[in-house]
Amino acid sequence: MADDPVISATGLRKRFGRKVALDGLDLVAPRGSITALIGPSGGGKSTLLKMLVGLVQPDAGVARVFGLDPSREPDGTAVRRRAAFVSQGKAVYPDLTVGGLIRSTAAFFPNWRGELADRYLARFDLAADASLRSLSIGARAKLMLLLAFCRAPDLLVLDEPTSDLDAAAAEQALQAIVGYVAEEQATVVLASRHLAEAERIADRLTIVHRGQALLSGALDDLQHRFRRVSLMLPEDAAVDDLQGPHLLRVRADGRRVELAVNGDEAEVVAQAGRLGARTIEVAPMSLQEIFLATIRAED
Amino acid sequence: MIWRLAWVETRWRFVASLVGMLAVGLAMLAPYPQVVEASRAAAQKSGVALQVMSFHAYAWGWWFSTSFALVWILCACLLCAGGVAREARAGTILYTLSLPMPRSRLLWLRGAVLTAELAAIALAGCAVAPLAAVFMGQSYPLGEALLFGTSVLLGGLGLIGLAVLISTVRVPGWLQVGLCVFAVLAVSGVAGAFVHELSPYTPLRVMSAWAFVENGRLPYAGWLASAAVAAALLLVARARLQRCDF
Repeated sequence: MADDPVISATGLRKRFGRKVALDGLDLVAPRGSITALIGPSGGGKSTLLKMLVGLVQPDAGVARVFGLDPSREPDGTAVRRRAAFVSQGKAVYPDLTVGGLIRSTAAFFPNWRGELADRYLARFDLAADASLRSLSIGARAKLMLLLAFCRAPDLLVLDEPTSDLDAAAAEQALQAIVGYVAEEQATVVLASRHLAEAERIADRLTIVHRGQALLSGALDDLQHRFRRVSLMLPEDAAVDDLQGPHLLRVRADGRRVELAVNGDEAEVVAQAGRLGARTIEVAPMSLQEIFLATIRAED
Repeated sequence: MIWRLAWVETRWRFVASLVGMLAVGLAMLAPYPQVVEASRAAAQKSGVALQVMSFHAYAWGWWFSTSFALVWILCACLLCAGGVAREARAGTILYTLSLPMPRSRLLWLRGAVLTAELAAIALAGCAVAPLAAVFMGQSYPLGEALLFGTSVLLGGLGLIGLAVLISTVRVPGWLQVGLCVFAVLAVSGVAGAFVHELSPYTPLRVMSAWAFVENGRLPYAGWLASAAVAAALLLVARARLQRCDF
C-alpha cells in the first residue's frame, strides 16, 4: 500500500551479553520522510539501524521494512536490494581502488546509476584510481554515500553519515542527501549526534536513549507541542504542587521556576496561578531544549 | 564481487602456502641423488650387492606417504585464518552483509574459493615429484602424482569444512589457526593413537591414499566420509553465521 510506512518497528528488544541495547523500541518512518535518530552514544541507535537491514537479529519485537522482515531470508535480501546502509565505521576493503569498489558493488544492482557515480566522484573530489587504503575517513564517508546513492535505493539507512567530516564536507554531504531525497522521493533514517544537523534536514525526530524511543514524531509537531513555562513564584509557594501528565521537568532556582511541558500547558499555567505566580511566560522550546528535557526527565 | 573479495583477502596466505608447499616438496625430494650416491658408497665399502632405491619409492616414502598431506593440512589451517571473522575485525563485514545476498551465499562462495586455492596447492604439491624427477634424470608417472593430489584434496574436504566453520568464529587470526590445528591433532590423535583398529582409516592415511599403495584400491569410503563431514560442518557454519549479529 502506498500509504503504509516504509519502516514499522514495534517492541524491539536486543541484549548483547549483559548490556541492553534495545528495550522495547518502537519506530515508524512514513514514505518520503527523513527521520533523525538522536541520542547519546550507546543508546541503541546503531543497533536499531543494523536491525533494519538484517545485520542484527532482534531478541523480541518485529521490524518491518517495506512490509518485510529483514531478519529472515529471503526477506532480508529483498530489503537490502531496496535499502542502502552506510555504517558508522565506513570500513572499506583496503586492497581495492575507489573504481574497483564501485564496479564490484554495481554488480549486485541491476538498476545501478552509473551517471550518479560520475557525478558524485566529481562533486566529492574522489579519484577512481585512488587506493582505498590511502583514503581519509572523511573521503571514505563520501564514497559510502556515493555507493548508497548509486544503488538507487528507496530507503537510505545512514549511521552518523557526517560524523567524520569537517564542517564544509558535512554540509556537502547533507546537501547531497537532501538532493537525492528530493529527486528520488526516497525515505531516509539517519542516526546523528548533531541536533543542528537533524533540525536542518529531518522532518521527523526520534530521541533514542537507553534502548527506548523516548520521543518520536514530526519535527514541526514536536516544536509546536513543547513549551517552556517560566514562573516567578512567591517565596512560600510549594513547587512540588506543580504536577500533571504534560509536565516533563521542573527546574527551580530560588523563586524562579522553569518548567518543560509536553502538550497542553494550560493546566500547568492554571496551577501556577493558584500558587500565586507573579509572572508567567510561555515560549516554544528549541530542539536542543526538547532533547535535554527529554533525556534528563528520563535520567 | 564476493569471489574477488575472498581472493583478495586470502591471496597472500595462498601464495605463502603455495610457495611453502613447493619448497618443502623440493626439499624432501632433492636429496635423492645424494641418497643414491651414499647407498653406492656404502655398498662398495661393505662389499654388499648394491640395491638402489627407485625415485618412485623414494618419493612415496619421503613425500607422498605423509609429508605432502601434512603440509597441505598446515596450508588449510593457515587459509582458515580469515573469512567472516577477519572481516568482522576489520569492520568491512557491515558493507559486505549490507549487499543484497543471503549470508549463506557468502559462505558458499568463500568455501568455493578456499577449495579452489587448496586444490591448486594440492596440484602444486603432487606435481613436485614428476618435475623433480625430470631434473634428476628420473621419471615419475604424472597420473599417479595427480591421484595423490586428488586424494589429498578429497580426503581433506572435511578439513575445508572445518576451515570454513572456523572462519566464522570471531577470534583473532592466530587463534583460528590454533583451533584448526588442535582439531586436526585431536581427530588424528584419537583415531590413530588411541583406537588402533582405526589406524588404517585415519584422515592422514585416507589423504595419502595408503590403500592404493598397499593393495591398489582407492579410498572411496574415506573420501565419502570426508565429504560428508565437510557437508555437516558447512551446515553448522551456515547456521552459526545466520545467528551472528554484526
